[in-house]
Amino acid sequence: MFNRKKSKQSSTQQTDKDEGVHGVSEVRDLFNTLSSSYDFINHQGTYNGVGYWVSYYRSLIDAQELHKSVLSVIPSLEKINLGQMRESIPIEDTLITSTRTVIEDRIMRGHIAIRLDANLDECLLINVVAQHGRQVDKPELEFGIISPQEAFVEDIDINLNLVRKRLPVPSLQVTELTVGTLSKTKVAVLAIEGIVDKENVDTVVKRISEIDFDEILDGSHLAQMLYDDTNTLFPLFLYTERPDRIASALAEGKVAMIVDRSSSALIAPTILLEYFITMEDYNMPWVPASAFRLLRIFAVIFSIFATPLYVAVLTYHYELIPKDLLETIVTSRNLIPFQPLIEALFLEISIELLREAAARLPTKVGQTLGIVGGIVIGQAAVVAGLTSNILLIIVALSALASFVTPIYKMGNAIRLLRFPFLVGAQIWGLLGITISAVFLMTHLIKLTSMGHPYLEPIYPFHIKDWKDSFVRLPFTFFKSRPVNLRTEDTTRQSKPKKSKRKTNDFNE
Amino acid sequence: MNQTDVNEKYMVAPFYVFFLVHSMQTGIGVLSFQRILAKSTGTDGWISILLAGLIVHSLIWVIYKIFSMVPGDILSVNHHAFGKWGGNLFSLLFIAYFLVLGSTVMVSYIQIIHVWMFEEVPAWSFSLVFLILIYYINTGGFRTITGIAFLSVMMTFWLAFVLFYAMKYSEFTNLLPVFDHSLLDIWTGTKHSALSMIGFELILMFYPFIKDAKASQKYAHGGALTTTLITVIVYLVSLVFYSQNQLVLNIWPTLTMTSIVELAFIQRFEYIYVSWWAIVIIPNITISLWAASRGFKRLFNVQQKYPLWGMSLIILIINIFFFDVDSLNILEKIINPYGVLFLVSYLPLLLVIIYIKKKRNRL
Repeated sequence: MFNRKKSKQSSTQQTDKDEGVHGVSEVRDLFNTLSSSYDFINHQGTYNGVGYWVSYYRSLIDAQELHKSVLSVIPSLEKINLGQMRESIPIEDTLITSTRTVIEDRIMRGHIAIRLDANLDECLLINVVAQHGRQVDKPELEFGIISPQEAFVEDIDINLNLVRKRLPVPSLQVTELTVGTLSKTKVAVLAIEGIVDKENVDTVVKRISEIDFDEILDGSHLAQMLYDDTNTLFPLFLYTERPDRIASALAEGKVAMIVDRSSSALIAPTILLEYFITMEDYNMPWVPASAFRLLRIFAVIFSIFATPLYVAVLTYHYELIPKDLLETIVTSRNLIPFQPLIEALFLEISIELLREAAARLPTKVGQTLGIVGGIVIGQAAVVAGLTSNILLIIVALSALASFVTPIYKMGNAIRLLRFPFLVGAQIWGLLGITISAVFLMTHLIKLTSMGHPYLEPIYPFHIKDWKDSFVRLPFTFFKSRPVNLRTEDTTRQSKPKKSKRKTNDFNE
Repeated sequence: MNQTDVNEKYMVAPFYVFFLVHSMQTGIGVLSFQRILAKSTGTDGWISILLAGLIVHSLIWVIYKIFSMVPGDILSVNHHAFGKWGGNLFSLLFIAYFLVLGSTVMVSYIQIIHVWMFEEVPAWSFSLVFLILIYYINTGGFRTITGIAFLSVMMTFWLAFVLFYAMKYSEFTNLLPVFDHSLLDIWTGTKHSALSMIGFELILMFYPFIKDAKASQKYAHGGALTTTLITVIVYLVSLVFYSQNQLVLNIWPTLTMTSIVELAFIQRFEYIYVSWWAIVIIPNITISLWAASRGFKRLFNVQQKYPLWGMSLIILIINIFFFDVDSLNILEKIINPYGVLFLVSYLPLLLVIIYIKKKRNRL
């Protein structure tokens, strides 16, 4: 088989030598097949008595470029042959070949094929692919107030450019692979050589090339096929639309994957705590950064456990509540005909409905949803005596708390995690919650991302990696790269601190 | 006996031995040891605990000494010392011991749940859920088990501090008189506090899973020391909180003490305590059943899941047919005299036999 990557590199010097005797009719056959589609154009022209064919998909190519750089060049030639044309046409990605698979592949990627009447089997392929797509825009899912306002778009080259601009070093290596028998999606695997553990890159490349699926639509679609364990709620690869996150992950020694036609890139291997990190944490002084990170982790715990605790305590252990507080709760609940679980499920499910509806509705209609959901349904449910005020507060807070996760997919996991805990709370109260928690703990311990433990640095316990986990310590502590990544080069700052910034009489 | 070697991928760092030993030692015992100890030794009970701790330390030393001469686990040591048949017989005894240990811990915990939280829920339903959970943990291999033990210690350490709340109502003169008991009384007390000390012997099974195992001895001692100190503190707090006469009547003094905690938004802390104690209990049962099933696996060359299934089934059946076995009774009547006696006498004997064999081989 012909290696595409190599052929691209050497295309300028070498015409393809693979043409076999049997390939002759194949090329014509290919063009006959392609012509059956209505957007495939076979343009016939004659110049100096030599007939030539220009064939392409009009939906794939840039017509202006075709006119300007190809069709207008042909009349200026003295002699018509493919080699001559190739030299005069001001486009560098060209190839002369008569191998069917190469021709087919390239035409499908927006090349035009020029053939001469004299030899209809030999093609000059010229890249005039149309570059449609949106401009680099602000991040929508991972918006940051004090961080760069650039996000990935759907084009792999623009995305690579966004990353390369942040890491202008030759050691940033890109390996390109193609997956999907139908979609032929390009996947670029990025890693900084000399830092990254080669084994990680090899595993990623191996797993990607092992994929046998017809259509890869998006990065997260691909990610699920690369997971170590598919039966999990948790995202094992971090799915981000921020180029700065990719750049920092690469600098730490991780592997990034950029998928064509996907506005997000993937990072692997990841750890659980990474999903509660925003890039803003690095742009703020370490104290607020750590405080907000702790707040986020608290929010997640609250969001998972608040409603189950309410159900557990009010169903089985109301003795836990002191007398004065119990009075408040009893007054708020005395007209409610249901047990706490029904009450909680009613509210939780309506919040989930609102959330799902808000995600599906067009933005303009969506605005009314907040009013309908928040005020009308919530207040009405309380007035109608279906739920208690206290539970309404708890559910609303825990819904709010689940939005603080910077990575949307982790938010989804947390959204769902609450329900098994609710069931546990209903069955055995606090004990049920504890048992569910041990199940969750076990699951997290067992999870691995590209073979690296997911719960690191908690277990396996690596004190060195705590500098950037629950808290973000000052950058003077960032002397080494994360231990669990087993990077080749572990030092992040070689020299010790230079001069003292501040001196006063006290320090003298 | 060719499966003694454990792939390095499955090994854990030496310092986890601290958590494995400590989490295995802490279990049911620490909730209820005060009563019998107070009966026999009263105010001098803490001396008995320290003495028991000392014995545990020397046994840990013996275990590491044994393994420094014959690397592997207890099965290979037995094999080495007593040959095929004798060794296997003793190995079977150990397997049975681990199984009984695991199942009594579970039965006792279920009994606590019955008394303190849910009276009417049948025991088999609790044990079914626990066994599923334990099977799930076991399928993750020894690293997952270590992780659970580690997180369990981390997450339950604060429970020890809850007891300081009880100090508010303490009467320190209860500690007196000191050195009031005869040596015989103290020795009886030591025997009685053994229940809250056993668990370290699981090193016999997981030793080959420790990376650089010789370096882990200090962590094993550290774990045992922590347990001893916590037990002493718990005993002292119980002494100052209860009067002697109350203490000998209370089956679970530790739990009763927690029920007086009262904060602005929470009271009756024992509900939280009992539920949270599940995190302490689960690694306990998990490690015991893991050890038992691994021993079975090594002895009979089967996949570990089959003995684990079988043992789970046995425990489930026990829980179906015997509602609330007086498990403390079992612990005191079977595990304590025979199990502990077996350990205390067998391990030094094993060391001596191995030592003699080695000497003889060299000559």
